[in-house]
Amino acid sequence: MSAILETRQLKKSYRLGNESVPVLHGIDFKLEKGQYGAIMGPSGSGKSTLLNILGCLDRATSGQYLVEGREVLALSENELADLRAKSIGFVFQSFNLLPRLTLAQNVELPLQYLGVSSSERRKRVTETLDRLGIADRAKHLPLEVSGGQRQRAAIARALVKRPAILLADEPTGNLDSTTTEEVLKLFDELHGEGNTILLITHEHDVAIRAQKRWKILDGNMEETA
Amino acid sequence: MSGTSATHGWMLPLRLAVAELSSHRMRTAITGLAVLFGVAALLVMSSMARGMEDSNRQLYLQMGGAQILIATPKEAADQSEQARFSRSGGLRLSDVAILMQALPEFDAWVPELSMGRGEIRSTTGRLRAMGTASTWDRFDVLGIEFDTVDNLTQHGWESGEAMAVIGPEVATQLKREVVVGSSVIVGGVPVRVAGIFKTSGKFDRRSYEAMVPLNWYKKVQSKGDPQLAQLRARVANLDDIPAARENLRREIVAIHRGNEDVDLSTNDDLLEDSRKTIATMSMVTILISVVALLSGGVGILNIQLAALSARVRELGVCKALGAPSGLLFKQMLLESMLISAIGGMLGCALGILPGIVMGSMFPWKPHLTMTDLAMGVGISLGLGTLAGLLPAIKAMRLDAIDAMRA
Repeated sequence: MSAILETRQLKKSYRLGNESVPVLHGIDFKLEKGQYGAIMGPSGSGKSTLLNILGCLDRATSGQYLVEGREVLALSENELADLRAKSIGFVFQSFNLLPRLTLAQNVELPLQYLGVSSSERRKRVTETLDRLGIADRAKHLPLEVSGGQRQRAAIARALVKRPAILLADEPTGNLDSTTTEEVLKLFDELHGEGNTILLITHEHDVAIRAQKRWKILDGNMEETA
Repeated sequence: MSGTSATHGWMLPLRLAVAELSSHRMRTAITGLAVLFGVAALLVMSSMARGMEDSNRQLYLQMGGAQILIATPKEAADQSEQARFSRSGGLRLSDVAILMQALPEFDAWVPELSMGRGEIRSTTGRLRAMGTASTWDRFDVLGIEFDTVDNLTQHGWESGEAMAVIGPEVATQLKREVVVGSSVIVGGVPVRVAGIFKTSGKFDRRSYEAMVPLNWYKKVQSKGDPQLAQLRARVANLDDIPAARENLRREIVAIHRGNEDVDLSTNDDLLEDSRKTIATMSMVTILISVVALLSGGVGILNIQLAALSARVRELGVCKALGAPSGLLFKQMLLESMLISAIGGMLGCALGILPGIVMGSMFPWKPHLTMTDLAMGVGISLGLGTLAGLLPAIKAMRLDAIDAMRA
């Protein structure tokens, strides 16, 4: 199997005045195509920093980061934006749907960034909303639907462009237990359909659903059972 | 993964900008108002100034154009000058014959006598009219045309027949009492109305004019050598005007025993004075409009910066989803340009209105050209671009992580 994401001795430090504060201490990590992984860690462990780097929103200080075998650290801002648009589907804890756009328009947005034709966009949006069971809510604004439906719309927005990897940051953090179970079941199904998924969570019950798990603590990461 | 790398051009940011503005119609409308008023004010002032210039140009032609020199009695500055002027006798009809002999570079001479207020009447009462007694050449020199005439001949005019030509507003005051061929009373004597001037409307000063033959008027008034209200003299060759003016001045001073008691001007002098007045007025009003437009620009800048702050999280999400920085730059810039352009276009529409509504209310008709309208739209677009640059650059430089934390 080929690696979708791979880091080698990935380090990140921030400057605080004249001091350099290390946050990640040489992370070695690999997620292969079709795998479902979870990174666990408490607040302040460095998992958000790692997620930002893996999502190409931030740059590592040193080391290597490859997405589908392509070195990321040397890419320009526009190339990073292009990589995010094509290869990475984000699912956020607080959904981050644009409030003035309907669910369908939110889902359509990444396809617009990719320059997909209007007819193809309509087709893919309809298919994806249907797949996630919220086709009947397509014309509603985010505030007009439940939390679970919002997170489904956010997942649809991430999936619609058929990304190489679905990166989910605490995707159940704002959901009740019933909706959490629904969303996790959905991730199971998406994994079953061949999607590569990486969850970032601090909840063991959520991480346990993944096929591979890593634990991050004080900027060091290791695989766990 | 599928999809192709896209260079978005301006269509996607335009669609997003339109969607954003549509979702804040009230804010967009209010922000655009300042530009609307600024552009409208600019166009109204510009159209009025051009209307005045058109009117002046028409008046200039009515006054005989560039080749005419106008001699008018100078007003004495003090009592000693007044005493000196009275000794020379002022500008008299008898001067004209001497000048005609002495100055062959002039090919037409039009002496004019002014009638007193109330001197021209209908059979039943006073008329509001400016009465002038002059020669037949005045029709030619001033390019006077007639709507209707009745037995108006050069011979009759020059031989001093009792006749008058009047403006249409004078005719209107006479109502049913008089038509061409009947009479008005001048100096207590009935004279036949032999023609009605063709004019451009009620604001045309000729509409209120009444003119009688100089030779007839002189007889009726029995004043011998009357003082002229003014003397127009046409220079045969346009290139000779400066020399002819100097010759005329010198000759009049000689006739008047060394007294410079006559002012000489050309229609160009009058036109230039008028142009200067209009230009000054235009400068002031354009300055006011520019201030209004700048206020509009600052308003747009302010609103766009506020909108950016309110949408910083959304823009961060868009960046995380793959929106390139250039797209966010274009979107913010286009929002600002659209607000300003819409304001500008509505301002153009408002700027056209005075020409339609007020055309008959003023002596001059406001006159807008396509260049003015293009200028209105261009200025508003430029203003929108300038006002939108800072928010657009800020949007472009947003850090996605910081923005999503906002």
